[in-house]
Amino acid sequence: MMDWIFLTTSLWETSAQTFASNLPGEWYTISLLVVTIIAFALILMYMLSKMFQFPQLESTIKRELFQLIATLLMITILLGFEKTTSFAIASGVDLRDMISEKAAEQLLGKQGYQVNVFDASYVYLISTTTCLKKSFEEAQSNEYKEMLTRMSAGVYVFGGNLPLPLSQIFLSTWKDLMTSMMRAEDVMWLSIAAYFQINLLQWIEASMVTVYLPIGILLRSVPFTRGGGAAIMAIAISLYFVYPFLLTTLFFSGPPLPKECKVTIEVEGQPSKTVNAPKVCPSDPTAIEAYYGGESTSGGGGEGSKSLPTLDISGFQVVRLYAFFYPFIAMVGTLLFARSLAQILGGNISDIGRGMVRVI
Amino acid sequence: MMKQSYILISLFLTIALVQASSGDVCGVVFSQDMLSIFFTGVIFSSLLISLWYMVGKLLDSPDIESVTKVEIQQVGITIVIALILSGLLQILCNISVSPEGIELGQKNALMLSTESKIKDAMKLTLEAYLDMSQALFDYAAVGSASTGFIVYGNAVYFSPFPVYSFIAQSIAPVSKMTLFAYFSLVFQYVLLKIVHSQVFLALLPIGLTLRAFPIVRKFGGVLIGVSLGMSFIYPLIVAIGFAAIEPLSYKHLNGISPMEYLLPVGTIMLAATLGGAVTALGPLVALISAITAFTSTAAISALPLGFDIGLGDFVTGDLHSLYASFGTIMLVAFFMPALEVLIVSAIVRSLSASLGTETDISGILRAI
Repeated sequence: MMDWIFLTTSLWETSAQTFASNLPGEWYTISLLVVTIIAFALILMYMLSKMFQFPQLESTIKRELFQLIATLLMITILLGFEKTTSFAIASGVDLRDMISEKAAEQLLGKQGYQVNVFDASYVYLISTTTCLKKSFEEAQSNEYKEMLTRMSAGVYVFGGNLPLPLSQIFLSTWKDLMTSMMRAEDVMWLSIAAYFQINLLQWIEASMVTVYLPIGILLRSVPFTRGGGAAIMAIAISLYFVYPFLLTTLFFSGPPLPKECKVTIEVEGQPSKTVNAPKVCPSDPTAIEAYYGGESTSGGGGEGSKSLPTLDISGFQVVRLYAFFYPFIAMVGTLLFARSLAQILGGNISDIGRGMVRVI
Repeated sequence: MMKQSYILISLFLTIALVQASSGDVCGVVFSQDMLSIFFTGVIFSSLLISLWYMVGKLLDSPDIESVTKVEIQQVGITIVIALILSGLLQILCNISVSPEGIELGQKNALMLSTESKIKDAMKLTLEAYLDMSQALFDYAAVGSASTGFIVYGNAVYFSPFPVYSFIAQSIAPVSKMTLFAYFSLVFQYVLLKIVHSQVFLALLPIGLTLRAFPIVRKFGGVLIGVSLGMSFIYPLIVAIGFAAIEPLSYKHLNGISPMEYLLPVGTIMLAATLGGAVTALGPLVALISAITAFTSTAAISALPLGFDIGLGDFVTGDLHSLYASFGTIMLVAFFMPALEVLIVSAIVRSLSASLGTETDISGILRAI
């Protein structure tokens, strides 16, 4: 038993010394504190079991210590994962070129801007909202046509007033008007989705590993609440580590946002900075389109005359991907991961989740 | 056996001391009445088991003897659970959760603080809904207004501010969804009230009592798990959720005030309308041409102003502030509760599985 305690302590010390110089946040310290408290509680109970000669309690405590060591290893793995993803993003794209420290403070409301999956996601989502604002303005600019369709006039002829069929004359403007209105409605839902994502990410970043993960570790260490603790741990880990990672990966690998999505930030005392996420992953579908002839596919002729069933993911469709589809796919992936992780940790949330979806 | 009895008595004395110094826990749980019911149940159950043991001895059946030994152990475990819970709930009832952390507060601080958090969220959501409704009416009213002029019998009527009806259409669905979000928060508040009601809180001591009886032990375990999870862990999880979100996203809930933009537009509309009314009396007035000119000028001058206000970043920025507000409301009213229910359900299931039998959460959800 003493060997295990010694091993656990050594692991803590090694982990702490390895990462102490560059800790990514405070979550690691909080989780370690919780693990230490549980370790002390177990040691105390072990003493009691020895004192009163409870062999059953002794074996239970041994099992719990193994669980604690597993938790410690998991924390170390998560720390490593967080650092690795940060390095990967930092080497893939320099966010500091895209967004300055001051601008980040202004846009994201946070100090000490770092290159991590959360900040990369924020940049993309803020760019998306900018694009949506511009789309709304474009849709709105057609509104003078509504004035034409609602205009009425009459001409004084031979003592009587002859109404002019203006609504028939401006009939073609209805189509543009309807298109604009539908676009505005699209923009509305996509804006809500994008802002919800920003809020959700802020909430996940602030609370998952600093509040929910320690609570999960604590509850999981008690046999009565192991299932609940495992569920909380699985949800916290999935939402903090997997969700933004998947989101950023999808953002990086998807088609580029339109140029109009660039955010110009006016910061006092600094030249205005343009924010846009450059492409890293060479999966731009327009490249394939160019190979097949791009615009000339329908026109025929030359190398590009081969027919290609193209999926239109340009312009506003890309914004739709960024604001709704990518977060949706990332959330589905995260929930699948959470379900598997909960089972590994000793909980089962799959049927609860299924039942909840059915209720919703 | 003596050691176990010693630990049990020590625990009981400790809890009795805590109880004596701070009164009852959460008003109802472990009140004098409930403790009486619990201990009566435990004594009655012990008597029944003893009787059964005697029958086993009488019939010389080792099976019955071994079963009764296990059952009397279970009664002992139930008493230990009751003692531990009474101490745990004493702490759990009196903590308050804030963005600064968890602290031991006044009596029933957890329930009171959680209820007040949900009430704050309800208030903010309702205010946002009323703001949106007001904006919807204002924009729709101005957007549907029309004016016109008649010059020597030739008439032209038009809506100078169609952009506002467009904006009204962009607000309407959000306003409706905000009302749903408000209902969702009200549901949470009602749920919190129900789980804090005396009847629901009484389920815990009743569950403990039932757990002492062999036939209804599993049902007792389920009752303990459900009441503990819903009455104490659910408010705690809700409070933690609100504590984490409070300093972050509520800053978005600024609301919108369209009237300050619409007021100058309304003044010009009024001038144009009055001008039109005077023009109608034109034949009686000598200054007919001058008035007609004024009316036309007023109405036409309203046009670029309407576009200027309508198409600028002014309204678009305002709308996006509204969308950002709704993003926060969605998080508080839909996403967080779903996550909290998931967590509480998992805790309830593992608790009831440990204390009696596993609660069929999916079956309950299917029934809902």
